Amino acid sequence: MKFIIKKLSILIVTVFIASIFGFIFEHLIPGNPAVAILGPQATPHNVAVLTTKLGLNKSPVQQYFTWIKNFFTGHFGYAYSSGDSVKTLIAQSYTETLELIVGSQVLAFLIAIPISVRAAVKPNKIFDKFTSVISFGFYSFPAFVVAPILILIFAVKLGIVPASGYVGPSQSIGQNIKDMALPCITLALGSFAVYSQILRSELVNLLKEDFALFAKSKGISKYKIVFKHCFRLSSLSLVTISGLQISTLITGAFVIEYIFQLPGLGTLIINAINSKDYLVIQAVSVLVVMAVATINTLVDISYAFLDPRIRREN
Amino acid sequence: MKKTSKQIEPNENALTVNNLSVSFKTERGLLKAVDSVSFTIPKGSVLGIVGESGSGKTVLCRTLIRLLPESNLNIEGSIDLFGINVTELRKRQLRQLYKNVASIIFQDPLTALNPVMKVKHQIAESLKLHTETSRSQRKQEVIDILELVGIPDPQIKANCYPHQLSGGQRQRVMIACAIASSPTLLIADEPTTALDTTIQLQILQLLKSLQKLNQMTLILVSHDLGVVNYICDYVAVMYAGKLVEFGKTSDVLDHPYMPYTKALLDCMPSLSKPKSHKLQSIPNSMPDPFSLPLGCRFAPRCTYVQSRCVIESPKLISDSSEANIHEYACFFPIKPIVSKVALTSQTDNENT
Repeated sequence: MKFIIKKLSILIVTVFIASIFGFIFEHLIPGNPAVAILGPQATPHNVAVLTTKLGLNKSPVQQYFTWIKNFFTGHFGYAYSSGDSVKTLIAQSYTETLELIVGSQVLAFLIAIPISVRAAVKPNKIFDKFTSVISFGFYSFPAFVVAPILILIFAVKLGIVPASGYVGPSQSIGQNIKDMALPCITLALGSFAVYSQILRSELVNLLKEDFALFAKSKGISKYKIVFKHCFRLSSLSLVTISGLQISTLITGAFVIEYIFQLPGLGTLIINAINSKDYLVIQAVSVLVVMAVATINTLVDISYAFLDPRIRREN
Repeated sequence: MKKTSKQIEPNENALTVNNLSVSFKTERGLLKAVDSVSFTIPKGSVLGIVGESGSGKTVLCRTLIRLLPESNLNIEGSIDLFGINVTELRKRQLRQLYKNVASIIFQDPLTALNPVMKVKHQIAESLKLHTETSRSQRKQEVIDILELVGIPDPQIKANCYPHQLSGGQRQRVMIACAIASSPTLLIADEPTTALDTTIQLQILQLLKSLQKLNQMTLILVSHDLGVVNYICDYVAVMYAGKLVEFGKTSDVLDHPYMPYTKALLDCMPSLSKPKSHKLQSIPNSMPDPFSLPLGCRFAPRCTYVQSRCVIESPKLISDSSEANIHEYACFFPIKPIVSKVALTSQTDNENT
């Protein structure tokens, strides 16, 4: 319990620091948002009025505290460019990003686990070598290369799934799955490569351990040794990696969204950057940092559940 | 109380090993860890396998139940365990052997027990494979076994993880796992090396009492001759993969023929010897397994070495002058009476 409280307080500090950094970095973006909103033909008077209205003439510290107060009360402000509430913009797009990340990770695990278990049970045999070559291949191809290839094969040639577009799951689940299939697969392939190689080498090493040999001497079959004895221990590093993986995936997802034209957080933030929409950038980036920090905290806490030895040390 | 070897008929053998060689394929070439080892022990007896680190004793005892990963392994010769031809067993049959016949205990219980699995589950696992019982019954059996191996508060300790127990308790848990399947052969690979001296004796006593209680055949691997003397009926001395001396413990340890066995005995510190007595050590170390000496493998370190030892490899020969089997691999055995005769006849041979 003490351990969890400690981790949660670290989480709060991380989010706070991240919000300051987010604030500073985006103010380093050159250009005045008021000019961006009003366009190049705006009179200096109009620009000055809008600057005051947006609170941009206040000191950066004041701007930050106004923003952070509003942030925790749920008021993210209004987008300069469209005038829409930032809250609404995020609410419209987060489901798609969440679906993409969760879907791709579930898919990656579903492929990685059986393959790495099979490979680890008979290491350095044909299956093992074949799958490791394949996963290294996927690992070395970036998503923006894999995506067009997949689009070409499955959307253009075979026409099974649409090349782009998005229909929410509440409207049509079938169409939603079809829309999300390619983006999820694209992201999943990279993650699958990482997970399967980590899990495979972890299992191979664990199977060499004394306790695995002792389990064998009890008459337990190799697959049972893997699932009953090694899996929980190997999940420690798998959880660590997936925590790191999901952090990088959030940004990876933004690229995918752009390729498949999905109206997610990525598209939102890219548009916001283009129009210097500070409040949107700030809200999305702090939310992403919070998500990443939360995931890492969950990873830390999950160690204690997975390994009883860590529980004692803390 | 059931007695050990003395009541058992000599032809009722537990284990007959014939010309067993084990070699690993390595990057440097074939490594022969065990070289043409043969011996026989009767049912219900206790065999001690002694030797320095790297002598092949662990490989030998693990090969006896084919526990080593076999992808880079080559086993020659035969192992007859209670009439089962172990070298011929298929994977599934091998599992049956583990479930019902043979069990093993490792040196370090901290690495041999699963760190993230409760003690009770690790014991129940062996039980489940051995007999079909209901869940509640098995729960009770786990407690019973923990009690049998001398764990205090078995109800509480059953719910512990290995790291929550002391070293001695962990070793008792491992023994519990091993005997849960009521094996007829128990192999203990240096079961007391990782423990405090005070606990060592307790564990040995436990093994001995369990061995008598279940009439198990026990193979104890150790580099401690004191341990072997305390518990074993037979002793096999290994050196660089070869079996160099084999026989009843009392014969071998009281009258070692092979200079290596004698050297091992001289290395033992003793409280009864005067302080002025200098503790011996065997000079140099074991030969590199990739470049073994041509003749006797112990020759480079042997104080009794003669020219024949360097060129010719001695075979394991039986001492016919005694009623009990006492085998040794040496051209010039240390024998109080016979040695002189042997020595002269050997030198005569060389001269002619």
